Amino acid sequence: MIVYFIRRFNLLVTTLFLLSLISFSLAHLFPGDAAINFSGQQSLTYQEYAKLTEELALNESYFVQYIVYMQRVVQGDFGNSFSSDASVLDDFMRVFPASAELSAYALILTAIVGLPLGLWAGVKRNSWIDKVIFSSATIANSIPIFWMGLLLMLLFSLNLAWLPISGRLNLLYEVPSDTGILLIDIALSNLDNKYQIYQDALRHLVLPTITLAILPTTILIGMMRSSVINVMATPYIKAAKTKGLSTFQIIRKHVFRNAILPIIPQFGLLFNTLMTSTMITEFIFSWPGIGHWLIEAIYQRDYPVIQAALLLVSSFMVVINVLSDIVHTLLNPLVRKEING
Amino acid sequence: MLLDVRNLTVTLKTENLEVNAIDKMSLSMREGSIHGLVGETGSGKSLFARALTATLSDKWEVKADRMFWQGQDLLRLSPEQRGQIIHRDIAMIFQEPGRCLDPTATVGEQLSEVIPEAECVSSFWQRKKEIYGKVSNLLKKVGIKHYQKCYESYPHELSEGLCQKVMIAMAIARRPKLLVADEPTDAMESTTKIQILRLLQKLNESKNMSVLLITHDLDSVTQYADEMTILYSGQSVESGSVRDLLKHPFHPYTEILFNTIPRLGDDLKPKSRLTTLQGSTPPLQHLPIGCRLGPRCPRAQKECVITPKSVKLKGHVFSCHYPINLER
Repeated sequence: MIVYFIRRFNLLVTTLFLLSLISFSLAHLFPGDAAINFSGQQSLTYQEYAKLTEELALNESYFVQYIVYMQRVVQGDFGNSFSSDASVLDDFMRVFPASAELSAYALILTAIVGLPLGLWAGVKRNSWIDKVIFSSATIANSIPIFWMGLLLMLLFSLNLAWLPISGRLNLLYEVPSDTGILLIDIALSNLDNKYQIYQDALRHLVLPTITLAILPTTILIGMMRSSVINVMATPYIKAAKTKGLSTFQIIRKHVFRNAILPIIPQFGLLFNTLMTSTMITEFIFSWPGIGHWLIEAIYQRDYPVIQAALLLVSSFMVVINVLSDIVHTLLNPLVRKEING
Repeated sequence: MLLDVRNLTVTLKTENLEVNAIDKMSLSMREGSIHGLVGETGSGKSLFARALTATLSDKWEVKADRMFWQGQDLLRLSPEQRGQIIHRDIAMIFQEPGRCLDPTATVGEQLSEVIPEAECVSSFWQRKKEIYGKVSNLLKKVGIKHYQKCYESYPHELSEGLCQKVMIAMAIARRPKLLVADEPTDAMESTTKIQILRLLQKLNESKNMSVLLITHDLDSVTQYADEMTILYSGQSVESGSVRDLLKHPFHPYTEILFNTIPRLGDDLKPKSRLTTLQGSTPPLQHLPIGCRLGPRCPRAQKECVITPKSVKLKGHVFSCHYPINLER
């Protein structure tokens, strides 16, 4: 078991190393001067430039430069943003909670909708209910997410005027940012009209969450359905039927757990799609999150931000993937058996 | 009579094919006996068990003149009533027991869920302890010494023999009147096989639980069963008490079947051929009409294209136009 964890950890370290190499080389590959790309300081006097070059060891070999770069990364120094002139890490910490909040709600919605629907479709295989669920999932899967987001916006915000178009909160309200997670911040704040603020925040959440949840939900339905179909055909489900358990008991006690276990490692993959969709969704709904920040940075050729965001976001994804693998191992006795021989 | 099935026909219905996989088969069981159901692979033994427990899918159609379970015709009952009776009185164990247990739940969890709730007397907070006691008792009854360890194990950590014992424990939790054992010792080592069969025999004697032993292993049937029914391609060939059948088989197939078992002291020459029946069992798509043994039967004649009626004689029931051993 420990050997397994070490192997996983090894994979994590290797991947992170490669990512840092790519991120490091970007500063040299991007147009412009490497010193400026690394530090993000654009208007330098000659003395300042010489000092910076020495600090970053740019006259030394690439190897030394990489070591210096890694030292800065470990200290959390990613340079400054070209556009805001603030520290990139500070900017990142400001936008990250908004993205994390949105993705978390979308993930919860995905699990709440996707798992039961997939289970239902799998249990009632080839019935009309299965056909309805599966075909609508396939259709929803093939709709581009930005188009879907715009359609929802057109319908619910512009035509029906039920929900706000964009942003996290009405400009009327000023919630101090403690954790960066809006719903918690509102609770922590000492504003008097919390109820209205909550209502407003939730109304702002509805459309982005739904838009973001559509793609992962359809994928989850497909995975869950095929997994359930596999489980339903196994001898132990047939045996459980002769034991006199009701269909509901069989599904609750045997089908659900066995069907969900092989899906857990794929949750990592689901998270990857979720991450890319988050960026698109944030941009459509002007949600002040990582995606919005990164795409703005790309528009403005903000190289330090692009470089840092690449490293941070992809490390985050790799960590999540490895974590989902480890959780799967801890939960699934069959995998533990394979590991232990 | 515990179980009395007469002229059971199970039909497989698909879009381009309609076959009687079981054709007018009859079987009757006394209460408290071990009844062997013997036949080659594909002769419909397992199908019979599934037709009896009503676990066949919609593709199969079950018809019978009668299917009496303790005087009640199961086929005339509504599916719910039938399910209730089957659930109450009949339990089943399978081949490959390791695959019939949920791989992600411990043995204890799986046994706990089959303990009938009506039998638990203690209050809610003592329920867990009581169920644990009952489960350990069951495990002890099927002869598992390290029941504590077994309780906590996952199925893949146990041997096939232990898994089968767990399945048996699960089956007897409801105190069924009939245990249908569908090739319980298939692909097991011979020592484990004997253990399992002895256990079934013991349960049969001590709990007065009838056992329908479905197998292709003639040795185990002749050793442990009181009565037996032989199937060939979904038709019942002959049934009667095992000892009678061994001594005076009336159906040619029965005789050939018993002759295929090589015995010690049979004076077999080295490299000589063992006794077999020429040919192979017909596939479902190409079943011969009439007596399905016809093309392979050494005594077959013109009349055999008509399905023979079952004849009752000296305690045997057999279906053959030209029976053997009648002269004596």
